[in-house]
Amino acid sequence: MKDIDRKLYETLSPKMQPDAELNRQILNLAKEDHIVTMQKNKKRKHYPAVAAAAVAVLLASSATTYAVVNYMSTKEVAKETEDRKLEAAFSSGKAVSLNKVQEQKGYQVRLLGMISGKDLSDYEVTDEEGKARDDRTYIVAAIKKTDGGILGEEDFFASPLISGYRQQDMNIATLCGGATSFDSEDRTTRYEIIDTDNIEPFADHKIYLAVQNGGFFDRDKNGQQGYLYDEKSGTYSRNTEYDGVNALFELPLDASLADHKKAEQILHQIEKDQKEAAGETETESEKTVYEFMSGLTPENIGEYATPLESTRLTCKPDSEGMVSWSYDMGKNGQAQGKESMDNLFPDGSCGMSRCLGYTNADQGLEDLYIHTFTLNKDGSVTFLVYVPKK
Amino acid sequence: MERYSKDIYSFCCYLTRNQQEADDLYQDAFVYVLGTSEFPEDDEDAKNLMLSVALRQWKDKKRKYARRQRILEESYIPREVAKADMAGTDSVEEEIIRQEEVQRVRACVEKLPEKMKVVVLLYYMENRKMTEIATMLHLPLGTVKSRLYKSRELLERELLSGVKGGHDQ
Repeated sequence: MKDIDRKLYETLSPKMQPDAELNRQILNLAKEDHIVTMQKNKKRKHYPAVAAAAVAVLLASSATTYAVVNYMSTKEVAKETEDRKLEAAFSSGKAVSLNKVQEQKGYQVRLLGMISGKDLSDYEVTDEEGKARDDRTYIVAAIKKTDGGILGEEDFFASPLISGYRQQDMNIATLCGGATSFDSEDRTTRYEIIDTDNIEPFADHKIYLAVQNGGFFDRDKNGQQGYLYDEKSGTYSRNTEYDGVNALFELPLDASLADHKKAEQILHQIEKDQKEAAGETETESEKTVYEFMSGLTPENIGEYATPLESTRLTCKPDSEGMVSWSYDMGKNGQAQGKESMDNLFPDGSCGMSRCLGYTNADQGLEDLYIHTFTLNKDGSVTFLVYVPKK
Repeated sequence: MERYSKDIYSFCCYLTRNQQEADDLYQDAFVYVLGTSEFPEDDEDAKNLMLSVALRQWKDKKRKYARRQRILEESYIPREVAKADMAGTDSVEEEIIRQEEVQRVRACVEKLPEKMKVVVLLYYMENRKMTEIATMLHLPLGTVKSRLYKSRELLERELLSGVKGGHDQ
């Protein structure tokens, strides 16, 4: 043998060992249920030999689930979104591998894995107050057509649900969540990473992941919603009447992770966010205007407000029963609009309409303009703006 | 059978030159093979299949990630190398010299054009016959022979010039 040959044989002789953990992850593919799932619609020969050969090739392992063939792993999904931190998190061994499957209406939804914790992502999430929400849960799912066909523009929506809380109160939006999705290169698989505030504090409840077609808890064409909530037990179930995809997975969280104090804090935050959204924490200016207008009537308007004669306008309703108005608000610009005669004068009585409109900016009563409409005997309508007396 | 996984993994390490990518490639190759309809019962055939799959997947990955910059681990030393190399040595000094030579040979192999490197790895690392390499790479036997021959020449020249340089110092 030549010297070069000897050197190459010696030097290149395989010495590199894969990690035991790496082999364990692959070994789990040899588990019977995974292979059954993988090979669902395929012809297979030497089926047991594959499992046996794979096990023989690799080291023995303890159970570790891993994504089946033809699916990206959770870390690969994270990598594809260029989130290095999340990729590392899913590689860390702290992630929970799931591999749960449901099929409805020609689609297969597969739950691949999840992880919760602080600072797991390169992408910072902030709430409306600009506060960082860095203690998050990340759930990875994949959606395919059962016939393996190419996905089109179908929309899918995913959200956690927590037993004991109605979906309108506890969902991806109230948990300050979002979703990142992309299609595989061959466009047969859609991958989703759903991220929300950390749901582990609720681990002593049943926690689900709902995945349905369409948008935010859309109803189907018959008005059916995707999920049913049992008020007594607080549990969720799929609505079998729903005409679409409505997968519902129960997430296997360790109940010992529950933290009632943190859960309370999350609930408090949700309540606060919801109140703000509903306008219950409106500004002082808005409150003042609202209170003023609430007490104003055609009978007392003269007591509390002054007419701006420059805005007086009399016109006849148009053929559609609409009255047009406009006026100059000075530094606040021009205002204009149309009102319906039916709304203003439902019983056709002459006099000032009880519907008093208004416009204002954010200066409270300072820039409040009150719109009045008066039906005249000849059928015309007089428009006149009032401003609050100082 | 344990050597089997070592062979495939070592091959992946040399192909990718990056431990993380080697792990990924090794995993992907096994995952892919588990999804095939037939897995050869013969060990050598099975190994050939695994190596072919790893190669194909590596080529696909390189095409896909061509636009991304790869950070090469310049001082990448595969695991277990130090342990294995330490075995059977007489002195620390001899061992250091031996390790230097090992690293030099490996560095020269690394520098080979990819097409040649693959043939070298399959032949010397994986002990594949030339006919097997030809089948795996879908190449004529003559092409495999030619690439192996040229690789040897290049490596010899490279290693000799390295030795000469050392002596000149």
